[in-house]
Amino acid sequence: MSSKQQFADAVSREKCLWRLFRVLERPQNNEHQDKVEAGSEEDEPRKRHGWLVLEALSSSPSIAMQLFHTSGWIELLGVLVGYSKFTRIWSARVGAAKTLSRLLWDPATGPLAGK
Amino acid sequence: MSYELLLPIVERGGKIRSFAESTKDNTRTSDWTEGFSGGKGQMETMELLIKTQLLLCRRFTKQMSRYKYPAYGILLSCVQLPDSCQQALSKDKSKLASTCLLLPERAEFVGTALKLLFSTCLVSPLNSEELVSESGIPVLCNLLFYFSDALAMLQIKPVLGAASARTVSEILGVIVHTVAGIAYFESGRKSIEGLPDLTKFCVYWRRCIDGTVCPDLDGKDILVKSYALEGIASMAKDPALQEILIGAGIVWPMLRMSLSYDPTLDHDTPHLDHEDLGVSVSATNVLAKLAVRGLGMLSGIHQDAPANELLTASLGKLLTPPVSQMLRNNRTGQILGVLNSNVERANIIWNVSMRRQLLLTLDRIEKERPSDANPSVKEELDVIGGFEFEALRQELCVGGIYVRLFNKDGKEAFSCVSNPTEFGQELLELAATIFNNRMIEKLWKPLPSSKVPVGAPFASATEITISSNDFQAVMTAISLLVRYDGLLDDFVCTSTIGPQILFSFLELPAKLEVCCRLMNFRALAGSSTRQFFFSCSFPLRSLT
Repeated sequence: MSSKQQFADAVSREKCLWRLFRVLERPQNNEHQDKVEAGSEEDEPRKRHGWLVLEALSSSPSIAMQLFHTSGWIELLGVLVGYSKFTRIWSARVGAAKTLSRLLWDPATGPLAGK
Repeated sequence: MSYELLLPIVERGGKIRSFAESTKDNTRTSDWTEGFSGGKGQMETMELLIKTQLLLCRRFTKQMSRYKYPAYGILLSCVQLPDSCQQALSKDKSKLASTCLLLPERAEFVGTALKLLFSTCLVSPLNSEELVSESGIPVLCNLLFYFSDALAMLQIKPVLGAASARTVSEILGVIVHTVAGIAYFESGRKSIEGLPDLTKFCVYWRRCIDGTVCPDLDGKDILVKSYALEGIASMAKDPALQEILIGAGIVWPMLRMSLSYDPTLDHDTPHLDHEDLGVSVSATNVLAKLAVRGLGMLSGIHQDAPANELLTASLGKLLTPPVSQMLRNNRTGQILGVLNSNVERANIIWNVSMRRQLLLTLDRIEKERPSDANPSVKEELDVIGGFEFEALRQELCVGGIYVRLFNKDGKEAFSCVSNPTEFGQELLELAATIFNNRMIEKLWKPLPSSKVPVGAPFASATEITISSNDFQAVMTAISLLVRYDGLLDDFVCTSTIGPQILFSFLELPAKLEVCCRLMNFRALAGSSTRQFFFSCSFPLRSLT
């Protein structure tokens, strides 16, 4: 747990979460074809892992607060609703939903979201 | 007590007069007793006295060590160069053959006196200090010049009626041994540093080592070389002497010697003494050990000597950085074993072809180098230029570790990595550099690379692409490090670059083989839900 916290703090301190978002949100070249919704892109496994990373990171207070105080949460919402500039694959939407739900259930960020 | 024993002999032999005094009233000058009043008789008496003292010094070392030798002034006057020799040395070296010091009787006398000089210093360090204070070093220095030139001349053409090359070589050995012994003391080094002909002295000292003064003479050359090498180790403690010795080109023959070691004789190499002279291979091993110690001292890689960055860098080029760093070890057999065999480990690559290439380079350097030159250290070492081993041209070396071999050896290679954390950092830094150079995208923000990574091919780090084998090797090495060791955790969590480089791995095109390797991290972690981050102790354990 300590290494997890330490790493999350490092990510927060270096303000480099955008690098992860950049990969997770990016649509693939063939995303606008019919198969996209099934999530069959070549780097889909990588993105799926990336979403798990984000979900884990968001359970740390430092990252949760950073997501809340930056455009992170709205970008996650964008992925969830299928904003045209973002990816629309299923695993991404699931990942975004999980991360947002963590933020909402977090005792530190949840109340802030209601205001 | 010894001097008391000597007293009757002195009394019988009459008054001992110094050489300088006796020259004034010398009326029956003959060729070989030039400068001695009383001629042959006086010299024989003096020789007898000196031999007796020598015997006492050798037999009663402990007792003699209690007394300070009282007659260095007289002894030095006995070995001082007469005017004719001095003139021949400075003006016309062709006349050296006819000078009095080369006549057999006189040469033997000087040789005996020099042996006593050495023996007195050997029994008591205080005597060395006394010899220095009596200006013994300039006298010995002049003798070194004289006998070196004389020996070189006798080697080319023996002179009828002159002392044999063997005798002269023996005298030279005593001179070099005495100076080397005196150089052990700081006062001795200061005295050498203060020599008016210091540059010339260093050139002659090099000649004692490279064999131009004293080619193979039934092993006598090995003795002279070994004493000269011992002297180098002592003189190198003084920064000024260190610089002038390097400028005199002393490094090249020493490097050559270090490549003449036979590791199979390592265990039964005898200590070099007069009885070992016939055993050339064993003696060569001794010389190689002394040469390596001298190189360590000259470069300052060995902790007992001041650092000389230029030579350290040059030795890094000529021996490769990991091997040159072995010069710091007191056990010289380790580096010599590597230099004279084929070794391929994660931290060392050395083979026959590299050895051959180094020898060819040394041949070229020594051939092109004027023998009497003594330029600055920088000028001397500039001849190396951009020396690079052909065998290492394609090897990626990061933080002193050859990445290909590290990946090949796997866990076994960890024993070769002295600091795995630092190695991991270097790998990540290199990966960041490659990312910054090759991720050509509009929105790419360069990774913060805190320093230029250390290693052989980093001049061409910009040439490495993310699709190249080198990059894949770097990624494999990182995966091995995180797989076997959690040493990178701290770096990843505390450095500026750590989290950023990990996220950047996700940017790699999926079609690249390196991506497949990254994905394999998952398999390494043993669970389908663990990402490659997890293998870096990335905090996802709670998700599994």
